[in-house]
Amino acid sequence: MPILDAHTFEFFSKSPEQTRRLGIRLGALLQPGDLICLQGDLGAGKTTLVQGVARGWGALDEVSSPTFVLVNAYRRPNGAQLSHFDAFRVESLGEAEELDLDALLARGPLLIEWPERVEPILPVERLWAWLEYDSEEHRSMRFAARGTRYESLLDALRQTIYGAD
Amino acid sequence: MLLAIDTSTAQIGLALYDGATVPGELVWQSRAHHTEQLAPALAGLLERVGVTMDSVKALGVAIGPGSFTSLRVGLAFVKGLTLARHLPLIGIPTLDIVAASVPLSDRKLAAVLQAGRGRLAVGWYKPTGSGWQAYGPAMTMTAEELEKKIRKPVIVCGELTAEDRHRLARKFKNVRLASPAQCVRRPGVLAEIAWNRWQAGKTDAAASLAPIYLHVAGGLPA
Repeated sequence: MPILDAHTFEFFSKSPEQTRRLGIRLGALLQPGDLICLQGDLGAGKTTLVQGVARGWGALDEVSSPTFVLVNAYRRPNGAQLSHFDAFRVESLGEAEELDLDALLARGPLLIEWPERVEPILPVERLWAWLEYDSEEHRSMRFAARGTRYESLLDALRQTIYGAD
Repeated sequence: MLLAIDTSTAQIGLALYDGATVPGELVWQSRAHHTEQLAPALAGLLERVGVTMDSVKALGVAIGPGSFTSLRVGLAFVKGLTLARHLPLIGIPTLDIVAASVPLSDRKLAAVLQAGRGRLAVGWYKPTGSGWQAYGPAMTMTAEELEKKIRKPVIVCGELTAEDRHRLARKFKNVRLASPAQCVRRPGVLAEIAWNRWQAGKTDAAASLAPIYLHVAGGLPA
């Protein structure tokens, strides 16, 4: 696992199961207000990663693609909420702004698919992941942290992965 | 009796107003739980005051600026009540409520509220014979940008964080900051403005009454 710089790291997944396990570890670290951006084409493993994150975070609800509803909310028994926003069908930045991402961040962590479509309205501090299809089972992922909260989140993620793999 | 509802920001406000008294007024801070809290809070207020929705003959609502989700919650709720009970509806710009609670002065007034991510929504008001009058559209800016715009004596009133206060206080010669208690946006004041508009026959159509959204990033594609 090469470390590109202190605030970036790469992960090569050999199976959907491994991608999901990475998501579980990330999900367990998330706090209210955390913004995780997941950029990658169809089939890059975004949904699989989100399924893991929701499980690791402790969601009761099943993960589904929010392409048509734009935002899914997954709940935890204590009432906390994990939001999952798919920007694929958002037609303008104004429309995205009216979804009120700040209100979602006030309620819990927020995951965004196709974040590059709404980048100008996103908070500057965030964890950004690029996911790529390499072959049938293989996916490569690169995570970059911006802001102290996300640097420590990425450090913690790196540690759980080094510790366990 | 008129029922007034303000969900413009993290602060939620409810008030009952009968033209002579304010039988009930409720203000609290909610962290993105407006949907869950609004209806039970209204039921609780009505019960405590000992009236039912049957006594409510008109509705006043704050229409923003504010935060997208919280404004929608209040407007949707009030429109539902209006349509179900066939009540007249009056929408009041939120910064007018802030301005109306400030005693008239010969200075101009900047009415503010929190617009998210450390920015303020700011509306300018000048004193007239009939009270504060808004001039120009409300805009979003940081406290620092507001400070830079102030070159003459003004009053600043509304939702201000300790940091905003500190920042604006540096212009002490030109800025008079309203006290934190004066800065609370009172739903009783909203109710009074809405009552007067109702008595003057100036009501709004529920179908077309829209919130005032301030888009933050300039030059966004429509």
